[in-house]
Amino acid sequence: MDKKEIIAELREIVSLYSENQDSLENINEHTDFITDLKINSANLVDIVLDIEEKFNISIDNDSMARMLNIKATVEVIETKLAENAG
Amino acid sequence: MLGNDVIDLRLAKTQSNWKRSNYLSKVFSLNEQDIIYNSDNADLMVWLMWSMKEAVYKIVNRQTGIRVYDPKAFICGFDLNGSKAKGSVDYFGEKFLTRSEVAQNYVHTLSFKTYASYEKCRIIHAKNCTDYLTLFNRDHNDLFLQTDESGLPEIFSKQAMTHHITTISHHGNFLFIAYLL
Repeated sequence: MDKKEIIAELREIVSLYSENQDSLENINEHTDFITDLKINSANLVDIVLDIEEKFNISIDNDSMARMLNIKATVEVIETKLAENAG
Repeated sequence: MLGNDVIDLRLAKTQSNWKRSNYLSKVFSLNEQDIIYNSDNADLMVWLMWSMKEAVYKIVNRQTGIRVYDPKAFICGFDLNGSKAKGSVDYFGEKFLTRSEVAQNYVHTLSFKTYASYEKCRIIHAKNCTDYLTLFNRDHNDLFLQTDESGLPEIFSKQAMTHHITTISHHGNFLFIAYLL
């Protein structure tokens, strides 16, 4: 799965928790979950859980700590997918 | 230094489902999960500790400039008595103090490093709305709410010409502004 596909999946997940249509439409690596998408911090846990289910990966605390924007989140997903493949 | 966090309990009920599988284990230590499971009011325990973690994160973020999403690293202890909770939060060995107010529809937590700062703290409770900044400045003759050079909220006292560290939290219907005298 390439970066573009991962971001497309992420857009679907975060759209459940964000009402900021402009930012959702223009979602890219630099999009921040809190400052751009206005997602509340309790829903960030939901996003992490949705990602675990969707990609069939398990996200540890240290990885979750970084997941405040699309870029870091894609990196975490790529790393975990690579670990699974290995 | 000062931080705060308010949770609209009715809104939280519709926004978040903490009963979802694995949710609690991402946010709370085993000890904290025990507190939740053994309480008659699990919902309140979840949001009380959540607001403690958030309020302390605000201080840590202000002190270090670092943004992280690591709720489990903020370890809560508290003593709830009626509508008031006295608490402390440990973040990698650094201790913070908290005072929470539990009302029917909200939980509000104030976090601070020393009791001295708690005693010098004023809390303003208002209805949340998008133009709260304008309304606050219209309704307070002496106090001017603004952001400082680093984008952090501060209150400027026009009479005393002093700047005051300020923390703001809003959720749903509720807005809390706290500042150090």
